[in-house]
Amino acid sequence: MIGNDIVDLNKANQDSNIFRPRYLEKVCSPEEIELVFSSSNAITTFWRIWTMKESVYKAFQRKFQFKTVFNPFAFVCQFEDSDSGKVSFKAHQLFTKTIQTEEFIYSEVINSRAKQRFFGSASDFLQKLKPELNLQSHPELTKTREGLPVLNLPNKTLAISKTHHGNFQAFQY
Amino acid sequence: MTSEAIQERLKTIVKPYINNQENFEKLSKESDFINDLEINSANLVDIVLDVEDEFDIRIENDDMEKMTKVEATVEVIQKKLSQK
Repeated sequence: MIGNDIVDLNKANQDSNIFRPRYLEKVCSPEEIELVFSSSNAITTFWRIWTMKESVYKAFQRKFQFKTVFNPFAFVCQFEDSDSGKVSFKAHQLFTKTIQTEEFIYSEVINSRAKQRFFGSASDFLQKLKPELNLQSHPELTKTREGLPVLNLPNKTLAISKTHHGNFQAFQY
Repeated sequence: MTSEAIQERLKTIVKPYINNQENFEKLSKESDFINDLEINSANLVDIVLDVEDEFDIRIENDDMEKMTKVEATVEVIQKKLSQK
């Protein structure tokens, strides 16, 4: 399963005030709010939780083909260590890995089949894939009926998870 | 309040968060916040809170999860207003 999410911290700080009344309560359980406030950096801890929930949401949306819903509460996060985490959704669980820099926070679902990731623009990503997949021409990113990104290749369809926020883009495949 | 009037006020609320101006200008009942208006999901929380402030209502999770499209959002607002 694939699913990823990136948050541009500069943009997030401009667009969203997580300390706004009721903001955290719309997204986090009481236990998650406790994680946010007991950490050394409440803002980055919140966005770590957010990207964990989003990446797992995308993975399950692809698997179960559900329509777009906005229910961050249904995805319950636990931290294993500084970058590994576990997210529960109903009876299911997925593990995530988070990468943090000064500028962004990125989480993705850990996939046993050693999936790859690419940070950069869509055109650079497709450029990179062409030799990697031995393609004659540039592959094209399209969407499934549910709106999920896929790459149409001559003999198969390759599932892609993509995320874009502010100055940052990433692809998992 | 009519659904048209609610939709007009909702349009003003979502404006700061949209990333697709063309689709914003032709916003309709069917518009999808994420797919059409290209609103980042992180900003959906801001939209829910802005809606709560603007209409002086409180939206629970069951209703919040429907708020990914204009029509469903207008319906949630209308329902909450009628319960006031």
